[in-house]
This record gives sequence, C-alpha cells and structure tokens, in this order.
Amino acid sequence: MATVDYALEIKGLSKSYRDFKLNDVSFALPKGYIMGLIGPNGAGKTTVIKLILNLLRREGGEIRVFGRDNREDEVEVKRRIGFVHDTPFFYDHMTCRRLKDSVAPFYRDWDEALFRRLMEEFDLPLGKRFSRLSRGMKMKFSLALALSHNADLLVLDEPTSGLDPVFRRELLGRLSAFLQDGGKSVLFSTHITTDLERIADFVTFIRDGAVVFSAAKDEILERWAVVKGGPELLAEEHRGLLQGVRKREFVVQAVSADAAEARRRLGKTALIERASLEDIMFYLTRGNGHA
Amino acid sequence: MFKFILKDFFLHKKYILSLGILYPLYVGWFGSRLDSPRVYALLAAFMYMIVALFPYTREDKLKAVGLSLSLPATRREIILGRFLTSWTLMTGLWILGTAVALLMSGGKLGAAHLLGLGSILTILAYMTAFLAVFTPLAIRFGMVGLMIFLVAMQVLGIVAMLLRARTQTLKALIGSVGRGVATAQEALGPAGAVAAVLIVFLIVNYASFELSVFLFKRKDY
Repeated sequence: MATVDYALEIKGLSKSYRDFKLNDVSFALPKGYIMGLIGPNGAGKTTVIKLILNLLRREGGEIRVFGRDNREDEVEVKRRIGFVHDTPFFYDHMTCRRLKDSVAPFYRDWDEALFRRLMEEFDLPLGKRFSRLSRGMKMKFSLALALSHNADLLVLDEPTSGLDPVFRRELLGRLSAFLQDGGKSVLFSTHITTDLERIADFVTFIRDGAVVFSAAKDEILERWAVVKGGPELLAEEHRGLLQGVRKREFVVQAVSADAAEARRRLGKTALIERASLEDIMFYLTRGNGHA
Repeated sequence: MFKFILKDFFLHKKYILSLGILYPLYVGWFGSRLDSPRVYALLAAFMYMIVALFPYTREDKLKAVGLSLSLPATRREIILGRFLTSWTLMTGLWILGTAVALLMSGGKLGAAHLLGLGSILTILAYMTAFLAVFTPLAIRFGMVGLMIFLVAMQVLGIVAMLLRARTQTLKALIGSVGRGVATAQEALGPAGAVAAVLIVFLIVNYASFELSVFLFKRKDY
C-alpha cells in the first residue's frame, strides 16, 4: 500500500484561553493539495494557524510540517512555509522595498527575480508605503513575499476577506498556479466558502474549537445534503440522521451527513438537496443540534 | 546574526538615525558641562539604553512582533539578535557621544576622563545594568515595562535619598561593596581586575539574555 506524504499533519492539538478552548484538533493535508479551513468567526481557525507558526504555545498535541515537528525544527519548518496573515504584521510606515529588504536575508532560497516579477504582475510599486496600499494590495504584497522564498507550503489566514470578487478570483488563480509546481501545498482559512468550492481539494470544518469534519471536498459535497420538510422530521427515528436542525412553525430544515440514507428514508416526505459548504457551515453553526 | 541587526535597522531606521544623532549631541553637550565622570557615564548609558531598546518598544506599540516570529528563526535567536542590536547601537552612540563631548569647547571632562579605563568600565557597567534589567521587563511587559522601570528607578532614587538622610546603613553598604571591590582589585592586580569586571558584565548579560529567552518563549502572540 502506498504511503501518503503529508505537507501538514496536526494531531490532538489543544490550546485553551479563559473563554475559548481548542480541543483535540486533528487533520492532515497531503502534499500537492489545497485544504480549506472553514468555520464561523471565533471557531479557532486563526488559533490553529498561529499554533502552526508558533506564535502561540500549544498545550497538547503535535504539529508536523513535511514530517518535522514545528517546534523542534522551527527554523527549517518556517523556511518551507509562506505565511499570509489576515492582518499583516508589517510596519505601516515602511515601503514595500524596505520591508522586503528586512525579510529577504532570512531566507536562503530567496528569489529576488521572482519577487520583482510578482511585484510587477501584481502592479505593486516597490517605493510605496505599506500604509498606502489597499487591503487587496497588502494581501498581494504578503503573497509576493510568501512566494518569493520558494515555500513548499502556503498558509493563508483569511486572505480573501474584505476583498472584491475580481481580486479574490485573481488570488485563487494564483494559488492554483502555485500548485502546478509539483509538491506545493496550501492551507487556506476562510469563511467565504464559495472560494473553496472553486479550488480546494480538502476541507476541514472547525466549530467551537473542535473539528466537525475533515475530508476531500468532493466527498463532503457528495455525502452531505440539505433536508427540508415538515415537523415529522423531528421524529425520534430520525435522530442521528439530521444535524443543525432549524425549526419554524411548519417547516423543519437540517443537514444530513449521509445523503444516501436521507434520500432512502426521507425521500418521499422531504425535499433533499445537494448541500454547499456554506449550507453545511450555516446549519451546523446556526442550527440546534440533532433532530 | 547580522541579518537581525539589519532587520531592526531597516524597520526603525528613521528613529534610530534621528535619536541616534540627537542623543549623542545632547549627551556630548550636557556631558561637557559636568565635572563628574560617574554622572556623565550614568546619563550617557541611560540615554543610549533608551535608543537601544527602541526596537522592542516600537514593535510592542505597533504590535509587529509577529513579523519576527514568522521568520525562520527561533525565539532564542530573535532575543540574541535583539541583544546584539542593542549593544551595537549603544556602542555606536557611546563612540559618537564621546567624540561630541571631546569636541565641545570648554568641556570639564577631558580625554583623560572620558577615555580612561575607569570611565569606560563605569559606562559599560551602567549600560550592562540598564540593559540587563530593562530587556526582560520590555519582553514581559512591553511599553508598560519601560514605564515600570522608569518609575521604579525614580522611587528607588527617592528611597535611597531618604535612607541616606536617616540612616547610615546604605552608606555603609555602599562603602563595604566599594571596599570589597578594592580588596579584589588589589588581589587580582590591574589587568586581573579588569578581566574580572568584564567577566561579571558578560555573566550579567548572559543571565539577562537567558531570562529574556525564558520570558519570550512563554508568551503568546
């Protein structure tokens, strides 16, 4: 049996704050694929990313990047990762050129020609102050830095939030192009699930600090369904089949993680539709648990 | 390690250059009016320490420590880089400030005082002490750490003055430390004493560095 090479493996990760707990988070991203990390605001996506980066200290579990522990081999791991943060940690008053000058010496594989080419492609002026860049331009600049040291894994925290659709498409196109160079992988946190439906190969859904599911996107979209029907859906026999139940006076809506079984048991009495990632996230976040 | 110094210089260039010129000019001018080498060393070390710690306080103010932590470097290396940047800055400012003080006409402290071994060791002692105390504070408390440090120094000064006026204990304590140093100096000889003092400076720096690393590793960002 062929073994899978993972770009990122997270096992039993935990971290607690006074009012939030990341609990036993586990998922794995095979080499050469894009994984979307989805979840509502405050679900723990940024915490996971900060733990990968060692900005936060984990309390338990394991994080391996290309088989290396992210704390024991911190330097080598960070060399192979390109990070794009939701709020870039750059000094606002500095020009793009100076920011690049302060970052580039840390990477032995820094490709100056590639950086210049990306800056041109992204229409970013080197002499412009970071504070004067629009949010989209800031993201592009962060991406240019992340790509210019030939990272093998890109980790992006909400890169498309607050951006217009044109730039979002451009960014997604760029990520797909990045993958064409074999062996590159992307972990992409977002709450804009339509972006993921375009490009992601795997999806991990986090809610309240715990993983709800982590699987191939196509498998998820095939397996999950939206179920709409009358109050009979609340019957005890359907308990376990339906999740994220939303009740109105005469209508009950929910999602099911077993579309085939839902069709078999409820096909005659309820409307069963293909679920999008957004549907799944919405019902599991806003619904009231099981039927 | 040079890349850390370079990074801090790029990130804080404007402030380092403006304060790095202003402070030595001020210290040089003010120092030329002083007749106590010890007070001059205290003033100079304190002013230079403020510039040397600028990267910490600005990073804290701008919440930009994530940039350093995203780079391929361990937290230990980041702190080591900070110590090197601080010492590079303090040494550069010290040389500049001394040159200004020497060039000031009518200065009361001449080259013999400013460049004497005693003066150099005194200023090194103050710089070591300030950096050793303040660096862990800045890492643990950021800008607030600076304020705590400054207030603590002032309170300590007031307490020392009060104690001095009311009791002879402090004076006796300082006197006994002085006598101890003198005895050690006699026993070690001039070269041995200088070497011993430098070793003490290194130990204090190292202890402060290890404490800073310990605190930095325990912080979440």
